[in-house]
Amino acid sequence: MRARLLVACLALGACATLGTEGEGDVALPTTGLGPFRKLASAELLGVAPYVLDDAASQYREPSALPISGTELFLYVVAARAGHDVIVRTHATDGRSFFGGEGGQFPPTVLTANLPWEGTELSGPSALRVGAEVRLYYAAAGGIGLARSADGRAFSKENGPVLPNEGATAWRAPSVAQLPDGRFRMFVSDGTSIFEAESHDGVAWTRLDADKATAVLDPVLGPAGASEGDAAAPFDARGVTDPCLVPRVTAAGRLHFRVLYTGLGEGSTAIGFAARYGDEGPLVRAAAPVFSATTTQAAPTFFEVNGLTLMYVQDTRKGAAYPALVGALAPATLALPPPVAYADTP
Amino acid sequence: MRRHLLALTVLAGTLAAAPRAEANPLDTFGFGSRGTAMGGAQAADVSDYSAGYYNPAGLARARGVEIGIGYFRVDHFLKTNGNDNHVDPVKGLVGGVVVPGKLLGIPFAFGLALHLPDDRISRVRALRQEQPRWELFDNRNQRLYLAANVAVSPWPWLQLGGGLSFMSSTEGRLDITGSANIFNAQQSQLRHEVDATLTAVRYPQVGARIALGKRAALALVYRGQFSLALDLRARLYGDISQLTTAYYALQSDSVNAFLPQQVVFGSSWEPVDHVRVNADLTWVQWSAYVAPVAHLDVDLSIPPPQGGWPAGITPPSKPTSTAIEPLTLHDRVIPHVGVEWQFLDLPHWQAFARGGYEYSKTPFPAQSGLTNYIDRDRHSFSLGAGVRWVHPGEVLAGDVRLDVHAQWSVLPEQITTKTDPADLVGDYSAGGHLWNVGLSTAVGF
Repeated sequence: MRARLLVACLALGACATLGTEGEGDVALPTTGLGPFRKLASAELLGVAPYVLDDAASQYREPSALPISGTELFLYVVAARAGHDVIVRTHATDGRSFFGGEGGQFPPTVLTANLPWEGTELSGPSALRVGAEVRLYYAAAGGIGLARSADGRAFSKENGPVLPNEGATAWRAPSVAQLPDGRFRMFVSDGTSIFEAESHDGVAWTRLDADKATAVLDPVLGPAGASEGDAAAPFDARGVTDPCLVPRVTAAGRLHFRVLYTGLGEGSTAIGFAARYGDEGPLVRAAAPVFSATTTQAAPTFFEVNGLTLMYVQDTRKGAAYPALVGALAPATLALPPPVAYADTP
Repeated sequence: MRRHLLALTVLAGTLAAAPRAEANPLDTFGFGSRGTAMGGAQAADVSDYSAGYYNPAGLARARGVEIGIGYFRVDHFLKTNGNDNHVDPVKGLVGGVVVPGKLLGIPFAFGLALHLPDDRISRVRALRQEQPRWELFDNRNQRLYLAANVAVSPWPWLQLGGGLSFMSSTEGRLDITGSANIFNAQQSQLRHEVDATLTAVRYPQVGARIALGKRAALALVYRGQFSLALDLRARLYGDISQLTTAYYALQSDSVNAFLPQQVVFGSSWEPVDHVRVNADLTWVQWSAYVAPVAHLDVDLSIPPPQGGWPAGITPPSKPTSTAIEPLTLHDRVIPHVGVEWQFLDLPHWQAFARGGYEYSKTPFPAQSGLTNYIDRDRHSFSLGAGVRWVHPGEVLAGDVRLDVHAQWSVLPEQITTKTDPADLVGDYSAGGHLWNVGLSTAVGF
């Protein structure tokens, strides 16, 4: 009887040992900047992978400003009354932006209304500095700055904080604050990315990535043609739209991470370049971190809960106007289902 | 002469039958509670079913038929950048049988040793080489271990043993044929054929034990090299929307788990009554390690249709092969020490307290380049206890034993720094600890 009982207990124990799906790949180390995949239908309320899409508004050049948790503001270039302005939208889950379901339009926060600005604004770069929100932008005369206490209503500086230099017209600034309080701006001339430094975010000094030469060198230039029969690099013709995200690594090293638009032979893709230390040229990753189509550009990103959401502009599939696309890294993970569209901008 | 012949036959048979050898969780976590509690220092001091792993020669010291069974569980608390990576636990039954006897008048024993994991018999994963992973703890320790050994004792001071262990490698084939409609996927008609095979892999181990009087012994154990292969082939052939015929073939060959050959030198000494001190040194030829990265061979052929491709359709180009980073590990010598104190010695009852330590220096070089095989030095501290009921009754002339163990392994946190600032993994810290607890019981007849 006891032997039968023992056998029965062993059999029950064996039945309880069913296999489970393996783990071991949770929260693995990553720079958080790729490779990315485009968001899937189950991760968005609207048509995937678009997070902001309107033929009339032609949303472009996003810049993310984290608020709390998965909530963020997104400053975006949009067409309003025939001119490019900067609008603000809002999402509580990182994806379902106000205006994403159509019929609602994010409000304008900046228009070109100063003499040096010309008629169009572009390249917003939002940054929180203490209790203040700063919004850098590009206009006809250079890079401008606007300030806000709440991220909604902005007051501009009267003149550009980084004026154009001769024939060089700056565009697509990206500003970040270093751990020691200094500010860095990465800015493009259309084909290369340059760097400037400031102690207050207002007065800027250009930096030289290669002090061995007499000119102020860019931190990243076009990759150029490939050698031999190899395919041309995705950024052979130029680099632009930097998105600067410095961090301090686990080894205590200052790590400048930059997403950018690589201009190739008839196509664009999102690249990643970086450097250790606070000066010198960037080193590019050989492959793009996001190249789902051939027209992505102007990346910005938002880190939350170990995930990185990237927003880029792309050409709307089946149409010919720009819209904003969402992408995710690590590409092997999935987002939970989206919540409702934000009801306020 | 007869003794020589028998001993040589056992060894030669073992080696000839087994071209390759061993990889199992027991190298990392031990086998049976007594062995684990003593830091794995068992080669010269084992006589129960766990000899099937530690030293097959020890089987010949068994005094009667013995059946043993136990259970252990290892939980990993391994972190990178302060985040728990949720490496799967390793848990399952351990057990074995020892059947001694005499063959041609010479003491002889046969033994079976088994580790049966709870969750899965075997786990295979093929990861990109840049994918961070705890190389020695994730995936490779979730394996079935089955070993059959024989041993002889041609003289009272000498025991020889050897045997085979068994694993399986995987081969698979996936064929997809038919027609694909790229304009309306629902109208595609595709046939799938999957064929997967688990092929047996055998690997040997042999051992010897020499008694130096009643209080000391030396041992030498060899465990052969072993690798688990994962070979996959996929073939896609068919018509695409009546435009053209596409052919795509992929062959992926990888070594999913590899354990290099090992040589163990063991010693056991009883300096005073009731106290035994064991020390083993295990040389592991990690330099032969095969990187667990798939070798991919891809063939793609999509000829353009007459008149060229329709607007908006760009056929994919043939993927370029991945250049596999060379991986050179360092050979290591792993020290194990263990102490056993018999603090109770009554006519029918004996009780033991045990402790052990093991230091395993990581064989991996600094991962400053593309690859991210995460590993750290490991210090393992163990404690255990055992009770032996001697001659419990007329039915059971032998004994009944119950042993428990707890082992704490600490992997001190270290920083990995990357040479390339554009590395998509970047600098990271890694470290953590492991808890290994278990019990085992054995009945000797």
